[in-house]
Formats: sequence, C-alpha cells, structure tokens
Amino acid sequence: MSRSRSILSRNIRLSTGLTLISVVVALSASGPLLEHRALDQNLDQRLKAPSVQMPFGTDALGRNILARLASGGVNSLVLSSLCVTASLIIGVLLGLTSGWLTGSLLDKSLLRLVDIAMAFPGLLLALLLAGLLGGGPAVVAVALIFTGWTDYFRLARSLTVVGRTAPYVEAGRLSGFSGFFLLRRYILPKVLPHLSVLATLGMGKTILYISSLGFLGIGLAPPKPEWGAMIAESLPYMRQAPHAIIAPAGAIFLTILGFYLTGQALARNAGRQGAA
Amino acid sequence: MGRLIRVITSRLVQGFVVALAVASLTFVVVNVTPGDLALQIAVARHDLESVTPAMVEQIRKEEGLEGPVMRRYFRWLARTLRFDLGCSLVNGRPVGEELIHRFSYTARLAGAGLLVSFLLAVPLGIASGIRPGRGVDRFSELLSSVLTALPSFVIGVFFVLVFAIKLHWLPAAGFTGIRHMVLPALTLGIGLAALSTRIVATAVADVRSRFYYRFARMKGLGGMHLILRHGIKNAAIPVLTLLGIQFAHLLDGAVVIETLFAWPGMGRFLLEGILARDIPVVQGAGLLIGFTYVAVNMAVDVLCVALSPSRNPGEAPP
Amino acid sequence: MKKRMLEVNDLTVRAPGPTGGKILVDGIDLVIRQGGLFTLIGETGSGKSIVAQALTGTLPEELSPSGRVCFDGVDILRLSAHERRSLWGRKLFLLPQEPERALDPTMKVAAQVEEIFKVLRYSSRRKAREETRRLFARLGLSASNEGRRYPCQLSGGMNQRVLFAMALASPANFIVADEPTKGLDPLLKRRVTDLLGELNRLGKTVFCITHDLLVARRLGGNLAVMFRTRIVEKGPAEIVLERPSHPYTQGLFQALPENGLHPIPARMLQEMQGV
Repeated sequence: MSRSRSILSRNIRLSTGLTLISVVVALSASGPLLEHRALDQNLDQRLKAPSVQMPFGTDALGRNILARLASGGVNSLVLSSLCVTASLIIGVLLGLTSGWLTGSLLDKSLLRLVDIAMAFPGLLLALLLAGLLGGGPAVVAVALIFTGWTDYFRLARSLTVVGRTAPYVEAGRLSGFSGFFLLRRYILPKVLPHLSVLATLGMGKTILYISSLGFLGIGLAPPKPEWGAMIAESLPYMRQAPHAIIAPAGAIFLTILGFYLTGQALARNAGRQGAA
Repeated sequence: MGRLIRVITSRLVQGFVVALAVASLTFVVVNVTPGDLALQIAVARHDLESVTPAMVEQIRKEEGLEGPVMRRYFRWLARTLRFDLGCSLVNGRPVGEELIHRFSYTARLAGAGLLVSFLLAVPLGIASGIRPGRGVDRFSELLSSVLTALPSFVIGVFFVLVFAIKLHWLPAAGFTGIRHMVLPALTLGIGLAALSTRIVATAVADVRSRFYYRFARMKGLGGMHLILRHGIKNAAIPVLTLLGIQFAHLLDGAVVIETLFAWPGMGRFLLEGILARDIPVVQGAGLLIGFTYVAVNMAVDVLCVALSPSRNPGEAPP
Repeated sequence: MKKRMLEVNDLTVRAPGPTGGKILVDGIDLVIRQGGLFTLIGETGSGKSIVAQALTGTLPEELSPSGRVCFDGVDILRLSAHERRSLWGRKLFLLPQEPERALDPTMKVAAQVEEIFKVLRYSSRRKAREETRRLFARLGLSASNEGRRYPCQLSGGMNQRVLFAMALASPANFIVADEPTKGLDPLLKRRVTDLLGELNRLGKTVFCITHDLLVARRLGGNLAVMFRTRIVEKGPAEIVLERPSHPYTQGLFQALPENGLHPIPARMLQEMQGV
C-alpha cells in the first residue's frame, strides 16, 4: 500500500520534472529564431503589459520579453550543459584515478582540494574569479566547474575504492591486466548509472548559479539576454511592470524545479534498484 | 581536553592558510591584470588632474610596489598578515574601518536570517522526523524541493512585489530601522530553512530508529523528557556539523540579498569592489569572509566536542 | 505461597499467512511468583524470544497472539498499545542485550541512572545522586569515576553493570532479560549471570531467556525448556537439570563440553518433530 503510493508520487515527480524540462527546452529551441527580436528595442512599446501579440509584455527598453526568455534560455542551457559535462568528465576521471591509487599522495592531495572546493561558497568563488579575471561566460564556466566537479569525484572515488578490492578485480590485476583496462571494464560501468542523477541535479544547481551571477551583473554581457540579469534590469520598474520580473523569475524557478524533481525521482529509482 | 585543543589548532592553521590564499590570489590578480596599482592609488588619494609621475613613483615606493616579483610578493604577504589592508581605490577611505562597519550590518542580517530559519526548520524538521513518510514529512519534503529550486533573489523579489508593492506593509529597501530588516531576513531565512528542515528531519528520524532511544522509552521515559534529553541532544550533533557547511550557503545568500535590498553589508561591499576592480576592498572583504568562515566552523567543532566529548567532530553517533 | 506476578495461559502466536499462518508459539503455560527467578531455555527459532516480546508488549504488529498473559492481574494482550507502553519502566523492565547500543552515547552513565530516579520515582536531584552512588557501589562501579564517563569510554562489562544499575533503579519489579549473555566471553557471561542472581536477591522478579544451559544452571530458580514452539519440560532448575526427562533436554546435556560434546542426533530431532 505505502509502496504503491510512493511509486505513484515518484512518477508524479518524474513526469512533472520531465514536462517542465521539455517546455523549457522547446521554448529555448525557438530562441535562435527570435534572437533579433530579443535585442530589438522599441521605445514606443516600453513596459507594455502582456497581450496577445506579446504574451509576456515588453521590458523597459520595449524589448519582447518572450523572445528574451527564449534567447536567454538557450544561453543558460548551453552554458550549464557545458559546465556539467566538463565537471562530470573531470570529476569522474580524477575520481577513478584517485580511488584506484587510494592512499597515494595524489589521492590525498585531491581529497584535500575537494574539501576546499566544497567548503568554499560557490557563488562567492565565481564572483571573485569572474570579477577579478574580467567576467564573461568562459570565466563563469571555469568558476562553476571548479565548484561543480567535486560531487562526481566523490561518487567515482568511493565506488572505485569499493570496486578495486572485489575478487574479480584483484584476479584481473594478478593476471596482469592494466589498471586502465580494469577501471574501464569493471568499475566505470558501476559509476555510470549514478551519473544521470548527479548530472540532472547538477544542471539545476548550475542554472541557479548562472542566474544568480547574472542578477549580480556578472556573466553574460548585456544586452545579451540572461534570466537573472533580466530581473535585475527590471527592478527599477517593478511598480509599473511587475510582469517584466515575474516572467524571468518564473522561468528560472520552473527550469530549476524541473531538473531537481527529475533528479530526485531518478535518485529514488536508483536507490530502489540498488536495494533490490 | 586534548581533543578540544587539537580541533582549535587545526582551525587556526586553516585560518592562516585562508589568509595566505587570499593574499596570494589578489597579488596574482594585481600583477597579471593590466593597470598600474600605484597610479590607481594616486588617483584615489588625489584626483586625476593633479596626479604627477613623481607622485606615482613616490606611492610606488611607499606602498612597496617596486622591485623583483618575489620581494614584492613577500612584502604583500607581510602587509596582509599584519592586517594592513590599505585604502579603497574608489574613495580613498581605509578598507579596515569600512569593513568593520559593513560587517556589523551583515552580522545583523545573518543573525536575523538564522533566527528565521531556526524558527521554521526546527519545529517542522522535528515534526517530520518523528513520523517519517507521513503527512507532515511529505509536505516538508515537497516544500523543500520547491524552495531549493528558488534562487534567493527570486524569493526576495517575490516578497518585495507582494509585501512592499502590493500590500505596502514593509519598505522594499534601505537599512535604517527594524522594519527594513524584515524582508531581507525572511528571504535569507527561508532559503536556509529549505535545507535545514530536511537535515533536522533526517537527524531526528535517525535518532528515533536508534536502540538507545527505544530503550529510553522502555525504561519508562516519555514525553518532553525523552525528546529533549535523548532525542534533540543526539540529533543536534549532525545538525550542528552541517550548520558549518550551511554557512557557505548563508554567505552566497548574503551577497545576493544585500544587493537586492540595498543592504550595506559585506557581500555588497565585495560585489562593489569586484565591479569597480577595487583590489584592496576585494582583498579585505575576502579575508574577513574567510576568517568568519573559519571562526564559525571552529565554534561548531567546539560545540560538537562539548556535546559529545568522546567522538571526533563531524562523526555521527553510532 | 507468594502472589502470582505473571501467569500465562495457552499463549499461542501465529505469523500472518493464508491458512491461519504458521504457529510460532504453541500453547504456552507459565506461572512466575513474586520475587521468583524463572529461566526459559531453548534454541534459536524455538519461539522463546516471541514469548518475551508477548510479555513485554513489543510483539510486531503483524503477529496475532491468543490466550492470556496476566501481569499483576491485568491481561496484557487485551491492553491497547498505549496502555502497554505505560507499564514499561514502571511495572516491567526489559534488560537489553547489547549495552553499547542501549545507552545514550551523549550522556554520562551516572546521569542516565539518575534520570530514572528523577522521572520515575520523583526523587529530588540530591536523592537521585545519592541512590545512584549507592547502586554503583553495590555493582562495583564508582559514581565519581566511571559514573562521569560516557558509554564509549567504558568497557562492555562496565556498561553491562550500568544497565543492571538501571534495572535496580527502576520502580519496576519484573525484569525481563532476553539473551543477556549473547556474544559475551565465558568470564563476562558468568559475571552477568551472577548479576542477574543479584537482582533477584535484591527483590526483583527475574525472567531470563537464554539458549545457554550453563547460564540456566548457574541461575537456578525455575526452568522451562522450549523446543519447536512448545514447552517440553519445566520445574525447579536443579531437578530438571539433574534428571532431564524429555529427550531434547537430555540431548542438550549430552552436548555440554563436560559430557563429551555429543551432538544431538539428527534422527532424534526428526522423531521429536513428528510428535
């Protein structure tokens, strides 16, 4: 009884999450088509309330908010996928190496580095790097990768530490197979299923950071649309045109929620399979 | 007692490392990025028209900005470790004084935010942990997933729209009275509570499943005595340990929230410094934030030792 | 004759299942008088722990007991879960197996005994401290030394004694010890057995469940032998242990080291199962 209910609630999470992600991806897919409209200023049309032609109205410079949302979505999704992919590759490779060489100097120093990276406030670090090195998507990406790789590292390392003592791996080592081969053949396949969970949650977290940085005025340079920056730009007009804030705020919330819900549902799925 | 000393020493070392790292990082940035720091200082002290090359050279000498890289580096480190933070490049005011002023504002905001999060997370977390998987627990879990998906500035903007613009109950920005603090503190507190509710719930559920807790009931203990003496105290240890980690979250929130509500705290000071490329300000704020972080974690460690003197901090009771 | 503390009539416990479920405990009858010492001996799976759970009201919800378990004149099986819990620590005390898991890791051990006085006997702080000191001294512990430590700083044997101090501190007169010597080395096993005897001498009624014949012999008192859900033999310990009448009890005796470590023949077990 309780079991069937929890399966149901998990499926609600999963389907809600996936629906939200697909809506955001579909909206963003139209972004490149709307790019010029996202930048077109029309000072006669400033701060117009939502209407049939412009479902989300216009901002302080008369730009179409829907077009800007779509265009900003592309930027956020592309940048965060890049960050997540890079963090994942770096984290897994280092984690496998570190776990295979447990107790070595490399392992110890990597663990120490992870401690530092995890203890450091991610946003603050991104802020420092981006501010001091001059902003732009590349610097934001570096900062986000620095704070993002630790989860994948810890996962890959812990599974490797457990996996390398398994009898078949020991046997393989004694038979003279290389560490690279054994890692790829026996340990990596155990790591991969968990990665989808971490990567999905990581997408949500990265988008949260990107939008926060955008809000603070660091990251993608204006006039290129970015959801967080759109909110910051519209703050002075929140009395006349609250829609110019609500629209990007909603976009941020629903996107992150979509990734979080999907990630949580996947995590429970994995937990259930692991237990069975 | 020995454990306490060990914990404190290791945190002091960490504090030193933080100072070293911040100083080194800013030194690298100053030397790698274009621009002459001596010239910038000269412009800040006087104004652009009256600065002469002789003045710039004078400042370069005074501030120890000449000579080989390594010598400059050690001079820079020594100055930083003496807490000689210099003056802002933007307005020429001493960074140290400004920092103390700004820090008091952030401390107030953080205190109020922590209070809000405590008032929300502790009752809700305990109620969830006492009956895992039931109504309250499921509700708080859903609420947490929704709230963690909200960046703090989105929560803050929402509050401003509702309580300041629509209802006119509270001011949207400023820093003069207690009324100005309500919205920023709520924003910060709710974001923190989203995380800590689940931490409390997990810790309480864990203690409840332990045999010593069941045995305490079998001994005939019950009601508030059981919850307070055997429940809360044991659940407090993992919660406190995670509080140290949460502090990072609090700092992230402070930067964003101070910016949104025009609250003159450290976070905004740092952001202003970064946007204006005001190196002394960035270095000073970075140092102070780093030290605060180390100090908070040291306090958490000491508390954990006090609660459970037989175990290492961070380690959950078996 | 002393008054009957516990009286069990025809206690039967069934596991949930399609055709009424498997029988785990079959028609147990027991009487324990006030101040008595009673040992229930049986091998793993004989159902002896289920009996203990039925007495203490900790039976898993899905098991359905029938019969009567009268404790101090009240049928426990007819009580609500809440009423049963209200007996805990006041009328009956369950002595746990593993002291390390049963003691609160963040509380000094003397304080854990003192709180029993304070909460359940409404003693003043000073009285509670005084009584705890007395109990600790009786059990060979020092309240000012061991008492000020945390469970993880004490040895298993000392923690074991702290549990006995709790049992003595408790206003409950009926102590249920479920496998108190499980996993202990022979020396500690003897000490724990003696402590149980000490509890009994100090006026507590003791109900001990064990699989260990040596423990049963050392304890004395009354004895019941449980085999495959039923009690096959009972009576005063010295009589049952001197002249075991049931083949299973005889087999148990043959298996003791001093009697030559003869395993119980499988054929005998199968025959008895057919009975």
